[in-house]
Amino acid sequence: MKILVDEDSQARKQLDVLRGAGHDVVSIAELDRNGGLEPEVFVLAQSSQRVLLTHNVADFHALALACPGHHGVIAIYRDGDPRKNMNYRDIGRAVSKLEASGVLISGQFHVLNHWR
Amino acid sequence: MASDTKRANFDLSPEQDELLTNLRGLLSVSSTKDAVLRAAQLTTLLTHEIRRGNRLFIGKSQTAAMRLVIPELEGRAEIEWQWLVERPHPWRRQLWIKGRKLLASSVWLDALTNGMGPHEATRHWDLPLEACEEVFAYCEAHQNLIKAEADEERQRLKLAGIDVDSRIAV
Repeated sequence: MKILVDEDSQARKQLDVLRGAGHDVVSIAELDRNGGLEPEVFVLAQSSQRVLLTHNVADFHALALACPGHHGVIAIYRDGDPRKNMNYRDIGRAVSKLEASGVLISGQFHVLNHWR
Repeated sequence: MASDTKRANFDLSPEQDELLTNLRGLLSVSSTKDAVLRAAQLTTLLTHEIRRGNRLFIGKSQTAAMRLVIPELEGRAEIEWQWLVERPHPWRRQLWIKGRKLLASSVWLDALTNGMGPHEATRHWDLPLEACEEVFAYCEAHQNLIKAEADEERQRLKLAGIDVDSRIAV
């Protein structure tokens, strides 16, 4: 899967895990776009034809609804209790599970927590 | 007795009395009055230092020292964060990392979820150690706000038809 990893998700080990699973991954930092607002990140994902992976569920859900022809968003909800959250490997496994399921990703907004 | 001394009378519950008795033992002083005064001096000293921008660290060596956050002191001290700033957001009030579109809690929660401390977070998030230590100190002192904002996001998503807790059977 071609993925653009948002600034709030681009921990080095997370990128390693996703690449290790065979995904074509680029992060906001690697594109030298740290600090960009959500609409800029969303546009960047569309222009690079990548699925956006983010922890900012609420803001990108609103953007995805407003732009139905997008390339897909994979969003991870982050709980206030760290014990309830998905770690790097959980996220890597869930992305692979989502892809293997064959469900449509382009144009869709997927909450990755559903695929744990 | 000097004429300008003042008598202080107050009631104590059994738990408060036990607390003061323990404090006397900890501070090795002979009276409850001495224990209260010693504690007051210490609290005053720490509060002044924090208000001057100093931070408290605890550890067995300088390299292993960790920030010690005492919310009762820091909350009143109105710390000026060096690496954290406010950003306009419709409902989030927690601080963001300066120059980045990154919530303090994103780094903190990510680190805790993956078993990392500030030193490792520095490497994974390309942030200076000082920034990561400040993120940890801030988030530890504002856990209730961080939890409330996560709950707010959950509620907003629920209203938008997304239940983050549901699972897809594959």
